[in-house]
Amino acid sequence: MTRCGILDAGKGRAAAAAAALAALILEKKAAGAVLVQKVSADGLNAPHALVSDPSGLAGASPFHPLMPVNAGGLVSEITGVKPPNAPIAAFLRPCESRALVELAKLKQASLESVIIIGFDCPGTRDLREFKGAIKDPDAELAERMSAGTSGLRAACAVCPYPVPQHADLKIRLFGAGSGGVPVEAATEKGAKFLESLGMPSVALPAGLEEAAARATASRNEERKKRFAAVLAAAKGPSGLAAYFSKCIRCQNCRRVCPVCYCRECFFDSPTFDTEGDKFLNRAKSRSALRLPADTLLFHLTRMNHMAASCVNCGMCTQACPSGIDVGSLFSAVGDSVQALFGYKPGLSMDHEIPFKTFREDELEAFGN
Amino acid sequence: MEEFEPRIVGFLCNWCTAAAADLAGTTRLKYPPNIRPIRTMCSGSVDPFYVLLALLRGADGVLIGGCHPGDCHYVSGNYKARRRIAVLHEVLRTLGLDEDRVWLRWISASEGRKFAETAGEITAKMKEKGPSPLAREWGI
Repeated sequence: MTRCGILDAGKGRAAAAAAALAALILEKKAAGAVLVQKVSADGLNAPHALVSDPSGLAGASPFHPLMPVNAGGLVSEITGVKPPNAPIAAFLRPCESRALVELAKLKQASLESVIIIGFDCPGTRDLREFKGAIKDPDAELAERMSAGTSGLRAACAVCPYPVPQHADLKIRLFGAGSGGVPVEAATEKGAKFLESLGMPSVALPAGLEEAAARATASRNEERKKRFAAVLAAAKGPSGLAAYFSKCIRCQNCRRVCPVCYCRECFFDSPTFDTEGDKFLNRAKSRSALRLPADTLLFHLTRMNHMAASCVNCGMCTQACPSGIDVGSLFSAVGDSVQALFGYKPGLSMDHEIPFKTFREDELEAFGN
Repeated sequence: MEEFEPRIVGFLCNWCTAAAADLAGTTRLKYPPNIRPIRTMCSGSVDPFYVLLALLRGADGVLIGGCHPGDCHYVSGNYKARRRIAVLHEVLRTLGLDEDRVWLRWISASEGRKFAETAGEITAKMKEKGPSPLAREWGI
């Protein structure tokens, strides 16, 4: 039977209880630091912070409604060169831990010294549209939990995995009753960690899976509809030209993409610096040459390189200064590329990234 | 009206298809001159970027020639190429672009005839398809 600890800070106080868990981790010195979001002074954002002392937890907001970056990339930054000697406990949304798993497979991060505290994610709000400070995180969380997918950031409304997949601890928000929020020990490492906190272990309450399945199903329903519409809009050369007509080739989408891991991007290289005559030749080869040039080349190349690992976090859409919904198209393409190999990015370290391996007896329609 | 002559870019592996193209020439086999060959060291070194570059900058078709499975000079480059091209096909198909303008073919160094035939096939097929709309769309 699956065991869990219970976080209880009173009825409807899940966010406060999770912040208390962070404090407990630091007080018991179960981890060297906790990675968690902290509300900014003006209340308009909550950047991630690596907190080393309980006194640094003021304003900690583990389930914050805004997601400024994909924290999977932050863990990669911390552990990629050399993992810290003391483990860090990281509160990660499902898309963040999935990005982290992809990065670990690509040897850009180490999971060894990380305790992933995953949580059921009701979805986040658009960072740019969000106005007004959050006074009571728990009231805000309750509102988001009950609103379903309405008012969520584009990517969150079509999230394929609102429940954590690869995580050591799983905070089960969906379906949690009034008796506190269950923290499930999902790995052996998680079980030991929970034990080191001295939390009493009880059986996992019933009804959680059903609630999680409901949340997943409603998002997948939206996903089908959205992706069909997006693929219809971006269909063929003219459709794609229209979809990306506002692209200014700033490459923000790839900079914020957690899985786009190259230290130096080919598109930053001098490959594209070329003589004026070549531009004129290209303009002559068709009626006109769109400038900045090679925007579609950039997006299509990125899809080829990274769509297999796309975790649908939607950071690309959020970072686009022109308001292009890069993420929906990228994820739609990602779904079909992933289906080709039956690959589900970020679910498990055991699934190999399609480009890192091959089979002799596959894809036999190609080559002959 | 002048007949449409497709422009086809060929990425030919040094160890097989490029040699097959030479063999086709030295055995005086006739085949259409539409392929612009680019010799690469392995089909596995052809990043989809280069295929896309060709397609977006005016190619009507792209042929990638590699060694038969099991025969790669670098052991597994052709298997990796196969996955990459399969992904490229999937991306193109999903976006309503014509994936059948990108061909992957295994042609060994001794298969001069197969190279000449393949050159004929791809040229005929691209003629039938007509000019690539991707190569002519201005707004991309």
